[in-house]
Amino acid sequence: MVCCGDPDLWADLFPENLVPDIIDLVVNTWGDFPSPAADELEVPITRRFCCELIKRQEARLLPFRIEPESSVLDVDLAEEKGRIDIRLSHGYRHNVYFAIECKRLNVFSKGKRRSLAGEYVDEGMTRFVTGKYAKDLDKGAMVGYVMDGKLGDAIKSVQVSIEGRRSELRMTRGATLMPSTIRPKLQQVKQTEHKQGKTALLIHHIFLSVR
Amino acid sequence: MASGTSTQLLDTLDLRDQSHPGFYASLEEVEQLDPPPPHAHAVRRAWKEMNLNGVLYVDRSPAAYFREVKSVTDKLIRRLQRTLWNQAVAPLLVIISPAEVRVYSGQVLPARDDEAPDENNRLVEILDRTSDILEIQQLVSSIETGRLFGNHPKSFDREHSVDRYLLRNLDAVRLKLSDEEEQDRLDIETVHGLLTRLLFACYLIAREIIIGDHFSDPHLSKLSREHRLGDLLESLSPSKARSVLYRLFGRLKTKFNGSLFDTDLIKEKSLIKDRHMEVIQSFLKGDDLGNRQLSLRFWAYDFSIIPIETISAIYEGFLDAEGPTTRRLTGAYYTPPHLAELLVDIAIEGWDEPLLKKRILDPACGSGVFLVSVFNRMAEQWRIENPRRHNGTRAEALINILKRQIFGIDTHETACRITCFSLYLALLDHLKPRDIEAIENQGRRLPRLLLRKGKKQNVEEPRSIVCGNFFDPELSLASNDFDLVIGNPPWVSGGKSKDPYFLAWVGDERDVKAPQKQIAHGFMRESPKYLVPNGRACLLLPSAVLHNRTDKFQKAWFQEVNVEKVVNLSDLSFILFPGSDRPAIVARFVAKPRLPDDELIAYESPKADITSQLGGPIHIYQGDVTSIRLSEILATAEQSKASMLWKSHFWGTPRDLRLLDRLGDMPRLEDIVGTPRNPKRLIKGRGFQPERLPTDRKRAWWKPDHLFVMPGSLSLCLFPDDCEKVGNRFRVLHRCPQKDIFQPPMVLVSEGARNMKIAFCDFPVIFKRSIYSIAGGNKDSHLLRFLAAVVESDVAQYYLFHTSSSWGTERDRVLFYELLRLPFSLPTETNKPDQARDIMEEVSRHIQNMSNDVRSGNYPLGRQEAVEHLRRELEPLIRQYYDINEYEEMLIEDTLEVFKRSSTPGSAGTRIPTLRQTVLDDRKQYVSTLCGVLNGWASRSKFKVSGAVTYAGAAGQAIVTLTKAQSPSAYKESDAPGELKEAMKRISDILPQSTGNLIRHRGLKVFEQNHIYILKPLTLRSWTRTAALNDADEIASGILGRKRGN
Repeated sequence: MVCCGDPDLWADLFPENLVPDIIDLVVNTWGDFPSPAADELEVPITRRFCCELIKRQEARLLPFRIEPESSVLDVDLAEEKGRIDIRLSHGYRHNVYFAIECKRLNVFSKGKRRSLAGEYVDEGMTRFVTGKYAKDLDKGAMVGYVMDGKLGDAIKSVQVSIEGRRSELRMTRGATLMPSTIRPKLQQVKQTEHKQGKTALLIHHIFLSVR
Repeated sequence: MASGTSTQLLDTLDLRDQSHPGFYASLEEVEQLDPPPPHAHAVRRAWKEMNLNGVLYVDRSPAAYFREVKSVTDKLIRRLQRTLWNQAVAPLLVIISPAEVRVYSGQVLPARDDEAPDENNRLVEILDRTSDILEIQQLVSSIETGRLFGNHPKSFDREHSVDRYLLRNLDAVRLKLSDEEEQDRLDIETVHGLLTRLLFACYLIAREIIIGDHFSDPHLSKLSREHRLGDLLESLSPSKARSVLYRLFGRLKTKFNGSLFDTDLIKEKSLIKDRHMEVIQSFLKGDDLGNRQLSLRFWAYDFSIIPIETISAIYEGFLDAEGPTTRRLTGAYYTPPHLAELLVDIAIEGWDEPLLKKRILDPACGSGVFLVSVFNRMAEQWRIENPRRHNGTRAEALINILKRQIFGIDTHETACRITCFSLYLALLDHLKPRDIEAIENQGRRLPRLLLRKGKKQNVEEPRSIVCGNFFDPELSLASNDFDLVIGNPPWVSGGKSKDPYFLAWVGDERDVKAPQKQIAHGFMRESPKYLVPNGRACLLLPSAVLHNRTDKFQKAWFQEVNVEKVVNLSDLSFILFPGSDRPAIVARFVAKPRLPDDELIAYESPKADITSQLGGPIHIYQGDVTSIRLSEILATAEQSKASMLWKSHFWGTPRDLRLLDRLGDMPRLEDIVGTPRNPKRLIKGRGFQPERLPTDRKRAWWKPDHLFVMPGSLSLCLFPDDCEKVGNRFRVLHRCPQKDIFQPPMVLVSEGARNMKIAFCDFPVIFKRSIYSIAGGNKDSHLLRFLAAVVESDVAQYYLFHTSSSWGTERDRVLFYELLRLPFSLPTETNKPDQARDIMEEVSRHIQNMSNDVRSGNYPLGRQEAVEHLRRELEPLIRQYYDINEYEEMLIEDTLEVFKRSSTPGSAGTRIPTLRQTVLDDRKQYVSTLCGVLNGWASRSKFKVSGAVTYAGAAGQAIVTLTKAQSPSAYKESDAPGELKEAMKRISDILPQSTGNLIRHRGLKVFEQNHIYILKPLTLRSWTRTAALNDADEIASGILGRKRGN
């Protein structure tokens, strides 16, 4: 397809680039998702959750193909850059439109509760910031499965962890985990802003309670 | 574009402006094209032979020749149309006289001297220059858009083209000469040798390379282009004719030597009896010895103009004819010349360095059709690069190319000889008779190319056509030495393969090296061995190499080589491969270390259209192009689903793939179907096999009054009246499965040659192996009735069409194992178990009620009507069970109503729904769907999208204009004004990217202020609701991806 002209003038047809629809899809699907066991690992939860996302009617009305874990190739270096837990791509193209990285929080292990907020930041958010998924990706989402259901605690832990790693995360001074501007009424949805080269990167954080 | 050499022609056809860039009004214009267009050599010859005034290329393929005449005479038309037919390059000839414009077809048999040339659909159109001015001005456009061909299907039947006609004629001659019922039958090798030399002689005489002056013999001295071999032999008795013919062969042997004439001519002559000579005389006189209905009854062939590629391809028919057994065992099939050209186009596309510098190998060269095509292109390039070199230099250069750059291998010596012959013809075709005379005078003659079986290469004088086995480790050919390996390896599989070298090569690694012992797999694995680093292989292969269960092979092969592209030609099977029983793909790959996974592999699946049906170029539209990630191939191969991946990308659009993904993620029928030994909730089985061997001893367990059913009776539900008593048939059996699989309740399935047949059955019945059963316990009656309804539903048909290996690509057949992959959830596995259970029971009740009504005779409809009525009633319930939404329904309906019916059409004249010209309702529905989807996503926006269409029927194009505004407007449609029509035509001419016989069309979307303009052809494929959904996705992708410069 030869596409020419300036599509910018059409941006207002899809306010916020359909990201609110994606966030609603994740939150609503989780509402109907059979609750994982408290000790279930991230990969099987995400695999099942991705299947549920694909099945949802709302998902099928969106212009994206949702795929479970898949690798991302750096064409220039001819090497694998990373694996995206859930990727949303345009039908015709293989390039990623929106990536979702999933992590567990507040996990019980060997009788102790571990927040895993550090891993959430280091092994999750950092991948977006370093362009591990795509150099020009300007948005994405982190999903945190809060295994003990205590959303407030989990959000606070993540916030502390983020604030301690501002420079690695390329955030401006004083920046932190903020309420979502596109879904302000949802307490479980937050966002962070990062610099990625000359462009800004917006990461949406969706905390999902495992009850 | 026209240079203005002929004002009458340009004015008459309205060619003065720039609207037809493919029109050339002088040979110089054509010759200046760089790279040279396909068939440049043939066009040059036609120009001179037919005294042309113009040629129209459509997508770089010659579509029509133009000739101005002062007056039209039957004699002239007869001659020109005969030449057009013989050449088989451009399908049309346009004759412009002061009073008329006449269009003639080159795909209708030529007229005899006593026959009117305008009859029998040769004359396609006749337009009066006074009263039909508008039609004349639109003539070129109607050729470019294919409308002219579509409107006159009887004038374009490829069965009447020269290659197929000559092939049939030669087949008939061969059969008569080797007739097994005759005592003096000739063996097939002798017949082939004789016919090869016979046509070689005809060619040399027609080209005036051999003329009467070369002979002292009183008969042969009369030979000339006008007094042909047939004329000469006709006047002689068979015995005299034989003497003259072999005298001619003797002279050719002395003159040309080469690898063609090393047969013992004296011995051969002694085998030729009068009866044989009569057959040859009859053939040379023009009698059609085969199909009397198509008989020309005169010698219509003009070997001075039949392209060498055609002659070469025809000889491949000789290989086929070494008997059906040989053909089956070797897998050698006729490769039509345009298919060979297509493969060469794909092989060399995107190459930076010129072909002239490359070394080429065909590992299964057959008649040498690919090598001839490559050689012709090299010779053409040499001519362009060396415009001032004298002819002697050219001859030497071309001979060197033959000796050093063009290589072939074949196990059959006949094939190797034919390859040498084809290459000699190709060489001679590029030389003038006096150059050939000069070569002869210098004592150089034709180069020896053939290395006979078992012989070693002589380093001093290596031979390029090697008779040997590709899998022979001792093969006398260097490895890592070729830039391109190209060819059509044999397609033979299973127990049929008797090639000991191949079988030894496969060893016990069959699944990985060559599943089903398909020899083509062996060529895929071994070809890289012969390539230089970064060299390419491009092979024509049976689509089964990807479509069948070849997962282990695919997993290994796709990691071993770097596959750049796969072109799936399955939809064109019946057009490209007359007589072949299997569809084909082209795989192009590079022998360099593979890249990490996720490398994209281009996958193109062109569909048949009017031009490809006529043997013209193949068009690839946007919807036919996709790419598949290597990681996807490896992952699906790991799950034994690689064939589904290739198949789903064949007709499936991106939207379809999403639906297929979703359905594919559901539990499958096979999850609940086991075997009697490994039972699950249901068990599967296959019917009994009657006595087959004398040693068979198994006794049938049933009594003579047991019911027996045949596949034809299966139709949703089975009644005892559909069955018959088995009687005393089948008392002894070869195989007899356990009784359980014949017990109700059960579903019976037949794979069948057409769509699968299925029926629920609630009484015991026996059946043969052509029927499978899925049986359960009494509690499973609802489930099994529901299963029968599901398989009959549009949802299942849709899924199976897109995932089963044969349906839509080969035969309309779904295999039982493919049925078992059908998505099938139990109610408890769905998101709404209660609703699902209710649906299942309701469906079951409906079937039971109909069954009861039919049994009690209370049903007002006939059986088929009753089933169809019920099927329609159940469809919404099945869709609800599968949670199919409004847009998914559109995909299902388009697939079944448009795409399924358009798949694998025959030759010209077959109606293809996707190619139907759209009407207002189609376009309105498309715009409504497109805007509906976009506005659904724009629910939070203050803007809405509405659409309008401007069409240009003559240009075959339309523009969809989408407008973003606060209040939407109603659908509007209008005919484009003249200037816009021209602009649309020009844009649609410019957009396609052509590589010879392959034209890649690109869509056009333009964002401009509050409008989006989409240019698309007017045919239905671009206006289905499926197209609207995908276009909406594409527009969204353009808008949402804008920040990243997409």
